[in-house]
Amino acid sequence: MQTENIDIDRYLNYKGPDQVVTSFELSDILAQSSEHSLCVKSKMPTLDRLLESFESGELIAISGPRKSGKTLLAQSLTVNFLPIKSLWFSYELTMKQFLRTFPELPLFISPLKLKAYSLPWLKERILEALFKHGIGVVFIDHLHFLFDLVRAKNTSLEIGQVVRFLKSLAIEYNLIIFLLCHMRKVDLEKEPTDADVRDSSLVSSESDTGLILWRLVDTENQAMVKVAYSRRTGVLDKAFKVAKINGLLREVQNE
Amino acid sequence: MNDAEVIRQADKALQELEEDINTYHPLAWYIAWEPEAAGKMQELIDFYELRKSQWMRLLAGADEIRRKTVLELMRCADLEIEGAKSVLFMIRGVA
Repeated sequence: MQTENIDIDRYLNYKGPDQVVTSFELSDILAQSSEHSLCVKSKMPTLDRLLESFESGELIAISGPRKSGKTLLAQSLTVNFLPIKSLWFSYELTMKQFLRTFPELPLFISPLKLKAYSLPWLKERILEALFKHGIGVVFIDHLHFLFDLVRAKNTSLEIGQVVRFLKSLAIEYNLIIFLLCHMRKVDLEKEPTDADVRDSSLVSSESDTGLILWRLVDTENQAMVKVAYSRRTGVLDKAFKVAKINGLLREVQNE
Repeated sequence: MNDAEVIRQADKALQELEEDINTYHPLAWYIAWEPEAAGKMQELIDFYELRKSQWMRLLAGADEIRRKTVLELMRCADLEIEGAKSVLFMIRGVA
């Protein structure tokens, strides 16, 4: 190893924004900074107890078998988060259909037209919504519209890249991003886990919180929501019951 | 965050901006246009870029008062960056 060319003073005097500091210095710097942190409540008592709140910089994966109510949960959160505004990328439904699914139209932000498989476009619209409306939350419905499955050489790795990109956006712009993900075919009688997320385990490992839904097949309008994992609070596999009431999901008591 | 807190934070940010301008503005150094000022100009640009990224983080979940205040602060920073880049261009003769 060559050491003769190392400029010792350059390292000793380095004061750049990425300089190394001790944990005590870091703690002092953070205490002095007036860093703005956004915390929003779901207004679902058990979820708020388990997660305390959703915080800026977090990426939350919402997953579940088909027709389990993923979009409905996200729509319910959109309403419950107000006055914090959400930006919606609803790729699965037409705008007309999407607006119709709300029992009463709440305030949210959406692009007039959507462009699939383009992360730079997604970032541009997020910045536009941030400047124009001060959004705090982003919903993306769903993950498989963010990359081209046909052209993907390694689906799992590409999903990992997308999820990491979204996480870096959440951190950089202080946003809370919800990513809806499909599951592979699972037995409807069985409680799904985060291992059932379609194509990639990287979704669970790169996101901060994983919410999983499944329908209670013997009921008309009820489902279970599970906090599969929460990096911040350490919660694992805690579930509670929800029901579709007046067009939105609300928590109901477990019988 | 209530209105009083927004106004307090905006006042603080404006005060910081005024201090920044007094500290970093080329006119305050009396050394603009000199070749050795190039480093300082770059320092100024980096400084305001950093400030902009900090202010931008205040936009998430912002109400109208805060959003407009932050956008004004970011525009002020842009003007300072533009000014510094012009001086840098004069010194170096290249963009």
